[in-house]
Amino acid sequence: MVDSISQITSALESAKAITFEAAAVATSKLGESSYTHYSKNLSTQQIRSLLNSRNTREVKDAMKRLLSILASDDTSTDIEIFFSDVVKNITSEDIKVKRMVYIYLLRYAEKDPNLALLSVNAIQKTLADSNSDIRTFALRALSDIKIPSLAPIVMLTLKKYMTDPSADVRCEAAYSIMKLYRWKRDELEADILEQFTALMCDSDPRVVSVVLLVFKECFPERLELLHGHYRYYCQIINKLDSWAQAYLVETLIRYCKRYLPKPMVIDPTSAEPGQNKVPLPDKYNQITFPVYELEMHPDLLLFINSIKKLRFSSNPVVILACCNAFYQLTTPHDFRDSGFPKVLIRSATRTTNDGVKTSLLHSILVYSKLDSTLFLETYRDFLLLPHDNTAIATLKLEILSTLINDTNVELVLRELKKYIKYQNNTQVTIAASQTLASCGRLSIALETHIMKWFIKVMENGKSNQPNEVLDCFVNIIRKLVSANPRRHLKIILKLADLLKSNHVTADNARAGIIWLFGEIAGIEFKICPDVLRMLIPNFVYEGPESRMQLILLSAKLASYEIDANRDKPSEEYSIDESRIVKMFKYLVYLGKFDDSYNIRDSVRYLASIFDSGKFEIASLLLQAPKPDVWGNSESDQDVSPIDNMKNVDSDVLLYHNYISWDADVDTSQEGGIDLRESIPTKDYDRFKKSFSSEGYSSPNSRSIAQTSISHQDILQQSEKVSPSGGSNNYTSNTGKKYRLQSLDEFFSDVPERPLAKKSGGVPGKRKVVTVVESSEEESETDSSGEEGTDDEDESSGEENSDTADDASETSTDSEDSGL
Amino acid sequence: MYLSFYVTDSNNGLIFQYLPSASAPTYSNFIIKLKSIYQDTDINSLSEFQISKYLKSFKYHSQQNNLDYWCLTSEENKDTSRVKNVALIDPYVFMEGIDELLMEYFDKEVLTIKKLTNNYDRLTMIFNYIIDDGEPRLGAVMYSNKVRDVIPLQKDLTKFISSTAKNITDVVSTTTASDLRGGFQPGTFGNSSRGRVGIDRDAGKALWRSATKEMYTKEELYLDFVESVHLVLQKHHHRHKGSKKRLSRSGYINNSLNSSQLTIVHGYIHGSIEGHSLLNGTPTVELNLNNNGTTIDTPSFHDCVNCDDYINDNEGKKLLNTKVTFIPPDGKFHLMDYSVGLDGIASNNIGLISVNFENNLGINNDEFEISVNIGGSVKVPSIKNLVVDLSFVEDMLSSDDRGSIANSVEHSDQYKIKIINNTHGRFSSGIEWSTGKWIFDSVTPTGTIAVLRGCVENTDDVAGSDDNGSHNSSEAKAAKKTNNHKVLHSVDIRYEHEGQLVSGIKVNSIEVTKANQSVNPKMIFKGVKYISRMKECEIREN
Repeated sequence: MVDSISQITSALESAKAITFEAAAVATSKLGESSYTHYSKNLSTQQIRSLLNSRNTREVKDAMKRLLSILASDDTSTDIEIFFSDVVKNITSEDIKVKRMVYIYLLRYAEKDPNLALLSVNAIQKTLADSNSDIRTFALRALSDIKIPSLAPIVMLTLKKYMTDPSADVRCEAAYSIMKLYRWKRDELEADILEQFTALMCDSDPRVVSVVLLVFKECFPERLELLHGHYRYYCQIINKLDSWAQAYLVETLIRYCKRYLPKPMVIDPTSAEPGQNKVPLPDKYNQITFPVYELEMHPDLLLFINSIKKLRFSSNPVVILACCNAFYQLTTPHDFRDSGFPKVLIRSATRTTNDGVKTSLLHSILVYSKLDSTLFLETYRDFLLLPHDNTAIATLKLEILSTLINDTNVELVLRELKKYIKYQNNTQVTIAASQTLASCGRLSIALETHIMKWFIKVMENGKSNQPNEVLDCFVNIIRKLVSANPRRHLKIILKLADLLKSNHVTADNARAGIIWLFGEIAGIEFKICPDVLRMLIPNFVYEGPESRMQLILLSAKLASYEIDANRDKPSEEYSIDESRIVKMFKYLVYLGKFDDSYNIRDSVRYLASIFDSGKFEIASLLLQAPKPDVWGNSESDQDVSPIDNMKNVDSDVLLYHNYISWDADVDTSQEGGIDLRESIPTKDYDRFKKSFSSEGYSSPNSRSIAQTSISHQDILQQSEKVSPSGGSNNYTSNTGKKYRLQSLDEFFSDVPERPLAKKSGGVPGKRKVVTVVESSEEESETDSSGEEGTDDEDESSGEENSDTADDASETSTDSEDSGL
Repeated sequence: MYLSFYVTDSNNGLIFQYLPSASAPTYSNFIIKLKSIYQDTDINSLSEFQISKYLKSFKYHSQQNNLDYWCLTSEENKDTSRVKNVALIDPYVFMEGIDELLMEYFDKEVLTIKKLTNNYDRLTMIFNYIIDDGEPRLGAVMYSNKVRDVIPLQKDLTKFISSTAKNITDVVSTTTASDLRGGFQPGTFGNSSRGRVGIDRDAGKALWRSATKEMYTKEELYLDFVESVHLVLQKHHHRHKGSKKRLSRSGYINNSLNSSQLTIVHGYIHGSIEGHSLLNGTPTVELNLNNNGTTIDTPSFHDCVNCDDYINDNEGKKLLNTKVTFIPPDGKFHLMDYSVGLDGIASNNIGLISVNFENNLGINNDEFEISVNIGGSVKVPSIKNLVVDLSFVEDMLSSDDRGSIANSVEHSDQYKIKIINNTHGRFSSGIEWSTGKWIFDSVTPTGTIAVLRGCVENTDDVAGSDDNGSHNSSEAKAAKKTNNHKVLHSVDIRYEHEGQLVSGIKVNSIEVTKANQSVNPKMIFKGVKYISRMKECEIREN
């Protein structure tokens, strides 16, 4: 009777379900948009009733609507009011509903912790699911609901899952370590660290990837944790997630600096064995030998060799990290040979991602300032393209200015002139002018040529040039002239012509030229009074800045003249009779009625100095040499070049901040203890049976993973220098082995499997599971024994005991968590 | 750590937001805060924003989809430790990765706003899946196949009907024998993930391949080669020769095409290979490329390419061929990027189209003429979206000093470009007088020569009919030129076509090998498509 009723209900259930499927087909016929449209019209009451429905599809509809509201920033409906209706759906059988409820909880759990606790029990139940996806999800959901009383449960679950056969679950365990650390650092730090160190031994590259992320986030200073893993991580770096590659490279740079001895630079041409070695200098590009080789510690060599392969990475973060490694740990020569400079240029110029492009170009600028030879070969990459935006064009031009040499100057010069003439963008024109000016440092002839060219451009009445550009031109000429005024007398005369003929009309540019005459008066006095005389008639038509400078110029000239004639008797020279002083007085008189406060003010102050006859003060004030006006003159070599870069983004500089080598490194071999002796890794994949007969065997074959790598091995490996040193990947022997094993297992284990997994759900029977697992393992070792590798037998024996321990631990754990 | 993500259109209107915690601000709050700190123009042009001491925001603009991705990051956690981890470009790269992932996931060339708004639930779940506690999830998560395994895409109608039918039979059979199936219950059908219970997804180690063993009835592999060219060319003018011609010429300049020489100032080809694979099992594909004399710089590969093999096969051997071995992911993927430098190549024949232009034509020497010669090709039937940008400048250095000073008083909007003769397409003037666009029909057949002739007209007649009166120049040449200070200085040409690559790279062979030869490899359909895009090609007058 009861049976028949239940049969009828189940039939009804299925009939209902089929109807719903049919309805779904009907809706899907109309496509996604109509579905969205339909769900938009759901009222609050409807959503609530859908959430309470027993049908999964209805719940799904309601959850989808809620997520849409959350995702579209729709404020018309307050979705928080559904909290209790949503939370109870965590018990749903459908993983998708579970996921959606979890996402909802992420946002709102902290607001109502008591209600959120209701979901915990349901999540805990799924922790023992046989599907690794669901286990991953459960652990994640549990660790994300940040309710203080949950911390111990998360900790226990985490311990259990660290030995899970699925790498995904172990990855998630690593994430929960990070979450716990961020959340309960003060209480649980020791415990967390212990779990973390255990997880570091995992052999799966995916788990190692996450471990590296957690290391970077939580324990960046605990570099000593890396000792036993250094060599293994270097070997598998190719197999890591690209983000983890970057994290690893950055971390190992710091590790090498602290624990490895400084590389030695060797001069192979020198005959004396004692004299030809110096430690790598801290300042880049300061190796005194013309030809040199670098002698590195074998572990450092291993690291450097293993990252060479990363140049094929498509992730710019990795490229940047590797470049930094070469910069921090090796010489410019090695950096160039590694091919990374070219790859860096390629990533920088080819990307369409503006943020990346700017940062990479900034980095190139930093490297190029340190050693221009790195990018010299490809200088043309920094010529402008028609569609470069302002920021990128200016950066390119700045890089270009570090790369100019005798061989390329002709072409660069021609290009720069074009940019200046035809660019419509003021900033780019200015940058190009500055780059052009920096060409001048190559030779005197070039310097003169450039100045003449600038004057010609100004003469040609590029009146359409904005004032900033003209100002920049004048500044450049000022800069070049005042570096060596005697050499450029002709240019100075031309400038005077420019002023007279009104070719330059911009106030600030004129002011700049007038100022220049004030400065060269000390060197070449003769021309200056004449210039002043010519300009005085038009004084009232000048702009405020030029007027100011004219007054100042006259004051300077007066001061010079008075100084020059101080020793002469009063018959020969009288201050009152001097024409220059007269001009000065005239200008002072005019200045008193000036519009500008500033000019009136300075006129009063200058006049008072001269009137009171304090000529010494005047000469001190007005004839002071001004070396610093020219800014970063190339003379200050002592300052670290990195500090000297003002216009480089501060974050980029911070990123490339040179880490100094830790001086007192004991060369780890001395005590007979190899500091980086490899700790055996744990390969949990062995618990897992592969159904796929053609599994793609990963190149980190187990034998490498499990036998500790001795020093000699590394030496041999590094001598091979990568290409062949890797492994024969897809079709290797290991691949064959895989197939054999899995077939065996396939036939032997299939019936056992669901049973084992199922029983895992019941805490009491956990011990049985461990027995089953270890027996499986024995059969596995048997099969690998047939392969005939002694190594593997041994190591898997070790594994056995390890995992048995782990398993017993977890069994107790699961009992606790079963509460 | 990442606090929140926003996807907006180019006008900063919200399309999607992902707020994983109670503390994540909604987009409206975020943009109000941002606008209180930054100017509107800055918000549009910058890509990094410092919001407070620890809060930073980054923006990535996806050109392909015309979408902006924003993220809000916090560095509060890191402040406690001494070690400074500088995330220089990480957010940009991550957002770019998300953009690519979404395109691959939805199997679209371009993501439309509609697609995104219709899939809010999926988007939220994808973001949730790839970000864990504010950090990107590592461990082979960013592969679209992996995401698709976890968050299945809605299937289209036909598949749905067939799967429904299958489900019904399943239900019928399982209601009777449900206890044997362990955990499988009626009412949960239609959910494919339960059906896979027990199959461990990472059994095969090629993580980028889908774990769901969907069998393709017809096995296919497509590779699309896309090359985009950036080029700056310099025209070398033979001055004395040119001036002689100038006197007599008033006709077209087609025949003088060869007389002006073009040299490459700077240029490069950026190539990428987009794949689409529908292969069963775990296939290994060997791609052989004929380099055609070009050298490929260090390429960047998808994770599926075996770099060791690449190094062994190609590096340091100076071969004429390139060999790439890989195990393709399912569906769409981005196989590799390569780059070919064009600097220092003597050939002036890059691409199918050669362009020439000449100034100072006609009676008044104020006419210009551009000729576009689209070379004939067996492989390329037509050129798409051909546009020629013209830009004019004042011919300042060759003109007389005083003349230009006189001109400087004039306003530049007195000038106008007038088209005299046009064989193809249409001409549209830019906002400023100095720019213009010559736009062709969307498809232009190859083997045609198009000519545009026009003049720069000075609308102010007084200045125009100046007739050298104000110049007492002794040089006849200078006098001649004073009428025409505005000359065509450079043209920038853009187009794209299929059929062949600019670099000349070709596929020699694609070989698919599988561990178990269930299908004859010859039965697999392999398709290759070549697309060339001239992104920017500037040709400048000397």
